[in-house]
Amino acid sequence: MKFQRVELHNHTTHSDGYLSVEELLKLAKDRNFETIAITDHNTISTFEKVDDVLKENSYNLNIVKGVEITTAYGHIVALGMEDMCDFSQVNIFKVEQLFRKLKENGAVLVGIAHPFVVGRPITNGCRFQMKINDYLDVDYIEIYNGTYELGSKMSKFIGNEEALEYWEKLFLSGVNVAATSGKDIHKFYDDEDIPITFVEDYGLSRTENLYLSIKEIKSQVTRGPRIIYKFEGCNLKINFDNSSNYMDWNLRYKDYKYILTISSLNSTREYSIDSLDEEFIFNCEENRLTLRLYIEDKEYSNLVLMGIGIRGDV
Amino acid sequence: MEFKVKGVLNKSFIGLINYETVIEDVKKLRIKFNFTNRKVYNDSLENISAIKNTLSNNNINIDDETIKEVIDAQKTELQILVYNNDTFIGTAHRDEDVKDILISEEESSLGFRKTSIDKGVLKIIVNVVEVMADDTEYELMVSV
Repeated sequence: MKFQRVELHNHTTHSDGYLSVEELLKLAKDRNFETIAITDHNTISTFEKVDDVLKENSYNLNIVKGVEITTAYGHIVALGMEDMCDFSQVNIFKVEQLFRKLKENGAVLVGIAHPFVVGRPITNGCRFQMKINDYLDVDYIEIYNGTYELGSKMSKFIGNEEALEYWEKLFLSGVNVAATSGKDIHKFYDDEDIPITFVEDYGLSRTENLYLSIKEIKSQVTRGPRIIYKFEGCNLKINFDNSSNYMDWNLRYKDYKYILTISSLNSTREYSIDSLDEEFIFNCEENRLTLRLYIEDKEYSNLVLMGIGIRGDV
Repeated sequence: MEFKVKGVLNKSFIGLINYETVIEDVKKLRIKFNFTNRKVYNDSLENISAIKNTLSNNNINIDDETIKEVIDAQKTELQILVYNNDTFIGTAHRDEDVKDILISEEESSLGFRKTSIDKGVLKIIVNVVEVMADDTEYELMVSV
């Protein structure tokens, strides 16, 4: 199985970013992003410049155009939407109308950005405060946002751990939404040990791979390892792909011991793993499972693989 | 053609304020917008209590020094969106209390399409994301 790296949440000087379009795309090329979404706040003026920069440079980079719909009640990323709709009638009690409007205006994927960042009076409108009654037009939840530098005081404010728990409960209760990460690039950053998103490569175009993977809930949020799984009857067969060179994962993965957790709606099982090179088979009666893989212990900061939603019925 | 509107916001108002007018075809449009109270260092007990309450609700403990940094980072945030006959023209979405926007076919400010403006409805939305203090004044001026 092949995978494709995607960075789904990024800004330029066309909104509140500090990187020009040229600088952002060069950074993406230098960091080996395979797909980058351009998601400036409430604007699409970036796209013309993006096209120009791609014409002028031979970057092996796939662009997904989108917008981060930025309201005073939360942020919504609309991927594939190449025009900006008027959201002045947004009703936070009927946000489904806005999701539908985004889809009608070309959005292929709709995602909720940094849903649990601390809210007012600390951050302005960044926490998602709208009540979602129906997830029909929501495709993913950003379970890891990399706005704040790891270890910084502000990094406590982003609510990533809560977002992961929220998505897991949602998925396990039967809601079909995928999990993603978003570096939320606004400026140059050191290549920290932050989780990134991979989607499956179905042999389609990179954009189609992204769209299909999210719709099929096949995205993976990881610091390096990727998972390949298959249900055979009640047996869940798992292999890990450790070939990614993100943060030298392919060189260092043998240095650790791991804990794998498999959760269903009512229980969580825990397994110690000495080597990720083995194949694992687990008996699982439940149709929906979420997986987490930790290094050494179950500290959140030691999570190396998350956002894995497994459906045994498809 | 030129018009100017002003408004006063109270602390904690959030929402959208729409201005609409009808204009003729124009090749170049200039919008100027500014507001007061972008930065207000508010170390009142009320504000500190609100910050601590939000953090407590999120199970976060921080020291007094960080509380000061949080207060220092608080800001009033008003952004501008522009539509012409339901066509999106652009957004000024930067951390600035003075926004000087040019829209034309040849050149437009960052965040805006390069375009002329068709006769019909010009709609300008003030996106009020956060207001830090009472009596926050804003002024919007449009000229062609």
